[in-house]
Amino acid sequence: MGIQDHKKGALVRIQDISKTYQGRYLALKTCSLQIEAGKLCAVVGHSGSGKTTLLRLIAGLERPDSGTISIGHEEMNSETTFVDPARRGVGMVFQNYALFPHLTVAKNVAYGLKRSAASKIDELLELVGLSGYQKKYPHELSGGEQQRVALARTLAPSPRLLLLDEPFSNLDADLKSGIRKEVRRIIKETKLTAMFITHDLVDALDIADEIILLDQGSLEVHCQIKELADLEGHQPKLQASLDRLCDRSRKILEVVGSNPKKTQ
Amino acid sequence: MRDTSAWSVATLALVLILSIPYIAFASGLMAGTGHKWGHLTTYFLNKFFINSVILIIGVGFISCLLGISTAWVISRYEIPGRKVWGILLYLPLAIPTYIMAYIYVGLVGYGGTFVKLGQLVGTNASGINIMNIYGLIWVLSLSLFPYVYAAARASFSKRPAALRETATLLGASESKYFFSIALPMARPAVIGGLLLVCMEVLNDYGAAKYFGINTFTTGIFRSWTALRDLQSAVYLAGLLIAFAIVVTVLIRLSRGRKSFATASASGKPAKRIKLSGRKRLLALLVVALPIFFGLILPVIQLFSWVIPAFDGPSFVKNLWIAIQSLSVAALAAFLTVITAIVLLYFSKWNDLALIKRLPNLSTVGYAIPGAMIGIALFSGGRYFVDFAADTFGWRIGYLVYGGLPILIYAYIFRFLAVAYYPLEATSLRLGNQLAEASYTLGKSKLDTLWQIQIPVLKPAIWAAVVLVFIDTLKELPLTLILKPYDIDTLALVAYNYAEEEQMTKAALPALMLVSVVGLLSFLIEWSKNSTSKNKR
Repeated sequence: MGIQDHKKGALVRIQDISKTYQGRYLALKTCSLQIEAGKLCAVVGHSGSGKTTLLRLIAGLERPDSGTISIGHEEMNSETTFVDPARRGVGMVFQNYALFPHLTVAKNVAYGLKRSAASKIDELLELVGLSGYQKKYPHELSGGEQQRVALARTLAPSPRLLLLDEPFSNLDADLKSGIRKEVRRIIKETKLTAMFITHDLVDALDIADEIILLDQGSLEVHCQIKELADLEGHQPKLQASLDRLCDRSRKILEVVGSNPKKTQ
Repeated sequence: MRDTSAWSVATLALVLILSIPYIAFASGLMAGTGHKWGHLTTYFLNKFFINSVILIIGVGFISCLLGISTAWVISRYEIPGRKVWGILLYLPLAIPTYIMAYIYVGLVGYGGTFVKLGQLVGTNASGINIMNIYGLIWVLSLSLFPYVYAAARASFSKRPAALRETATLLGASESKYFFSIALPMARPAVIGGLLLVCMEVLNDYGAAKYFGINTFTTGIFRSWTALRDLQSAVYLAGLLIAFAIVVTVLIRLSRGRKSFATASASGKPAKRIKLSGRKRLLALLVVALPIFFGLILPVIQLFSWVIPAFDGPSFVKNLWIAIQSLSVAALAAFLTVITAIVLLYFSKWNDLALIKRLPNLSTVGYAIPGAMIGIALFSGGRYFVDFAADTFGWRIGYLVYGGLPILIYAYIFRFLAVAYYPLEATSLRLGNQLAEASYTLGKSKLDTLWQIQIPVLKPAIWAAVVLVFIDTLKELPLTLILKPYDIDTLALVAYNYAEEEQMTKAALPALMLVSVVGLLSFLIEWSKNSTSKNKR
C-alpha cells in the first residue's frame, strides 16, 4: 500500500502495529510504515481513523497490542521492550498546546532542558518569533502565540522526531496560512523529522513532504505530496475536503495496485 | 514494564495499610460475641433498630424539605441579599450535631432562655421537653440539611435556560416545572446529599446520648464502657455497618433507572426571576427561617452562655485546647490529602485495571461510622500488640492505646474520601495532556507530579485540606475512643462539660469550634462564588 518499501534513511520504522482500546475498539490494525529522516509528513483521515493513536504510540503515550516501533536504530517497543516516553527523544505538540499554566513562557520553554540556559531559551523564542515574551504567562497569549511557545518548548530538548497533533485546528483562518509556513520553516531550519495530524487537506498539501491517509485504523495511502498531485493531475487543490480525498484515495489505490512503480 | 509493576505494588501496599480497620474488625468478629450480647439483643437491639429507622426517615424528610426549598429559592429567584443568604445556608453544618442538641435544650428546655425571657414579659411557661426522638430529629435536621441544600443548589443552578423556556412554551406553570422537570432532574444530586445526611445520623453519638435515645452508636459505647463488653461492641458495630449498607442500597435503588443526563449542564444558565410583594416575603422567609433556627439562634445562645461566665484563665485554658485541636486537625488534614494524592496518582500510573479500582475500597471509610472505626482499631489493635510482643518482643501498645499516630491514622481512614473525590474530579477535568507533555519533555512521573500536577491542582488541594480539617475538628465518636491521654480537642471538651450539664463551661470551646469551622466554611463558599463569577 503506497510507500512501504524499506528506506535506507528511515528514522521511524513501524511494523505491524495494532491497538485496541478496552479490548473492543480497534484503533489501528497491523499498520506498517517508515518515515525518512528530515521529512515533514502529514497524517490525514476521518475522526476515529487512528491518527492520534498512531502519534501517541510513537510517542510512547500508549502501548500497542502487537507490532514494533523503532526510532533511529533503537527499538522503542516490542513484546519485550517498552521505552518510556521520557527517554524516546520524541517531542510532541498537543492539540490544545498543553502549556503549563503556572509557568511563564521562559519556564515553559526551559522545562525540558537538563540545564536551563537563558541564551538557549532566547534563541528558541527568537526562532518562533516570540522574543520578549519570556515573562508572560500562557493565559496572556493569543492562540497563535501559545502554539509557538508549545513548539519552542518541544524543540528545546532537541528531539529526534517532532509530532504535532492537529497543530492548526485552533487557529483562525487568517492566521493559519502564515503559521503553517512558519512551522515548516522552523522544522526545515532545525532539520527535524516531523509528523503532523490534520483534518484539513490544504494543510497537508501546503507544507508536507509526504502524506499518510488512515481509514478505520488501516493505512490506506502513504506517498509523497507531489506524487499524489501527479496521479490526480493537480486536482487535489480544488478538492480540499477530506471526504472527497478518501474516495479519491481509493481510486489512487486502484491505480497504485495496477502500477506500483508509479508511486516509488 | 518495570514502572507498571512498581506502581501496582505501591498502590496495593497503600491500600493494604488503609485496610487495617477492616482486617482488625474481621479479626474482632472472629473472636465471637461478648458476655453481654444476650442482654443487649433481648433488651436493646430492637430499640437500636427502630430508633435508627425513625431518625433516618424523620431527619431525611425534614432535611429534604429544608434543603430543596432553600436551594430552589436561591437558584431560581432574585431576592435581596441572595448571595449572602446562599452562603449562610451552608453554615449550620459548622455546628456539630451534639452542640446543636445542647443549645436547643438550653433554649427551649426547662429553665432555658425562652422560659427566662417569657418570665420577663410575665408569662409562666415552663419550657418544652425536647429530649426525645422528635427533638433529636429537629436538631439533627437543623445541623444536617445543608448537605441536601448544597447538592440540590448545584443541580438547580446547572440547568440551562433552554429547559425552562421549553417548559414555558409547552404551557408549564412554575409549580409544574418544579415538580415535573427540575425536581426529578435534581433527584440524583438530592439522593447524594441525603445519603450524607443518613451517614451522619448513623454516625451521631453526642446528640443521641445527650437526649437519651438508644441508637447503634450509643449502644456501641454503652456496651464498651458501661457493660465492659468490647466484643459485643464489635458485633454492634458490625450490625451498624450492615444497617448503613442497607440504607445506602435502598436510597440508591430509589433513584431508579431513569436517565437524568439528557439535559446537560451546557448552555446559558436560566435567568433568575425577580420577586416582589408577598411572593418576595415568602421566598425570604423560606431561606431566613432555617438560617435563623440553624445558625443565628444557636450562636446567640452560645454567646449568652459565654459572656456572663467569661474569665481570663478559662479563656487561656480553652485557647490552649484550641491550639491542640487545630494542630491535630491540621496534621490529619495534610496527611489525608497527601495520602489521597499518592493513592490517586499511583493507581493511575499502574496498568492493571483491578488496581485502578482499589482506591474505591479505601475511600468507603466516610460511610463507616466513626464509632465502628474506633472500635475496630481498638479491639483489633490488641492482636497486633500481642503479635508484635510475642513474635518480635516489640512493645507497641502505646501506638494503639492513647497514641497520636493511631488517631491520625483513623482520621485519614475516615476522611480520605473527603479529600480524594474532589481531587480526582479536578484531575479528571484537567485531563492528561499536561502530564503527557511533561513526559515527552523527558520528565519522570514523580517529577511531573511534583513540578506540574501538584502546582496546577493547588487550589483543589487547599480546598481538600480545609474540608478534611473542618471534618476532623468536628469529629467526636472516633476521637472519644482513640484520643491520646494528654491531648484534648474542642469537640471533646465541649462534649464532656455538656454531659455533666455544665453548659456555661461547654459554651466557650463550642463557640470556638463553631467560629473556626464557620469562618472556614464561609471562606470556601465565598471563594467558590468568586471563582464561578470570574469564569462567567
